[in-house]
Amino acid sequence: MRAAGASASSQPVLSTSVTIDADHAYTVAGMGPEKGLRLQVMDDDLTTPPGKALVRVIQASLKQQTVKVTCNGTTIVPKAAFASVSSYQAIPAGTWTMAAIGSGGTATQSVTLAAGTVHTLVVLDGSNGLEMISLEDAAGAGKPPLGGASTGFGGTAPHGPGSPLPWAALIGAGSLLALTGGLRLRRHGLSRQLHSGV
Amino acid sequence: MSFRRPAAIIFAAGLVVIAAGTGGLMLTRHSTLAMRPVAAGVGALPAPTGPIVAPPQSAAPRPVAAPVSLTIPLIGVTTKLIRLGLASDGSLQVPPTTSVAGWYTGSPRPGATGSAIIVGHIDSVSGPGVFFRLPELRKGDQVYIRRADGTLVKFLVTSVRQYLKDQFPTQAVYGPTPDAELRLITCGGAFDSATGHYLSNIVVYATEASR
Repeated sequence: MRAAGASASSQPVLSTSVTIDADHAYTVAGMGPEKGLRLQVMDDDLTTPPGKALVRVIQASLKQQTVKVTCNGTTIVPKAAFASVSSYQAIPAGTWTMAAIGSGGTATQSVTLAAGTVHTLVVLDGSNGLEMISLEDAAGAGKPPLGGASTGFGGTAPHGPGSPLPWAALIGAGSLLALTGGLRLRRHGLSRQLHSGV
Repeated sequence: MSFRRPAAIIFAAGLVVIAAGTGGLMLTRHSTLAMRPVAAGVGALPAPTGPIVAPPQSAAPRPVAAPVSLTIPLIGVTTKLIRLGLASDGSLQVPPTTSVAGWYTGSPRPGATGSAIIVGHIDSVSGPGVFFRLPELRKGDQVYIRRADGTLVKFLVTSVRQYLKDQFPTQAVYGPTPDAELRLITCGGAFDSATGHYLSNIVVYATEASR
């Protein structure tokens, strides 16, 4: 981690190594007081329960050592200590008033949570006191479909010889017609007519 | 005499029908092979022109316009995108025709954070559909989406997977992602002529690229 705008060859302020596994998501945050800044790597959970969003809190306020976080008045993180990351809370989709309450100040934020999204609330010291930022970390289908999609009719798939039944039925019907016609002709003496040249 | 002509007609008609039946029977004795997709690159289209938008930032998510069309230059796919919802049984609605693809409106918009779902048919009863050549895509191939405000979003394919429909990985396909991603879904694998359905889905995963 380097200061914003610093060149890639400059001495980093902080460094740490991270093992990244495929199909995982991670957040890396610089946490702590200026003299004790350290990098924290968090493995992100991206599995949202149906109809809900996942919300966690990063408490980064130096002035408020402990903060309580509420959602429409209900406590979701009772005691967030400085430089801590809470576990994910599942909150139903909707618009909620999030509040971070410390002994010396409060920050509120109206946050809209769509189903299937993952959020991080960062509590920090702003110029006017305690502040809260809402970050959307990830989003997916708010209402995931059931299973896959029925997207093909087989026109390009290989297929075996067609059923002979319709054709056999046609031959059968034709034979019946020919038989009927032929019998009637015989009965009404077509052959005699033909021979007489009419 | 008045009975002869109809009788002759019936007899002749019978012969014609026998001939038709025999001809049809003989013509349908062969098997057909699967229709093979053409090689990648054949029938390729030029890439759409215009400035390509930057990927989304989590701190200031801007509202993103709805997708209107999809172009996959390498395999010659260019289609408008209709809007799809869920069928009554909760599964993905599919386009009513095999020549257009659709965007599932319950998923994020392409270019917004998250996994946008786009669906198209691989074939009709008689021939190829809009996504017939989807299985030819490989990692790094380009996919473009034009949005209602005229902006262009570019995605790069990251992987192409085939799954049996009864082992469909719901979380991997529809679950949240921290970046702007795309899933193109069509059918594949073996075709079950008894039910008229393919047994597998093919999913192309792609991630937004900045330029």
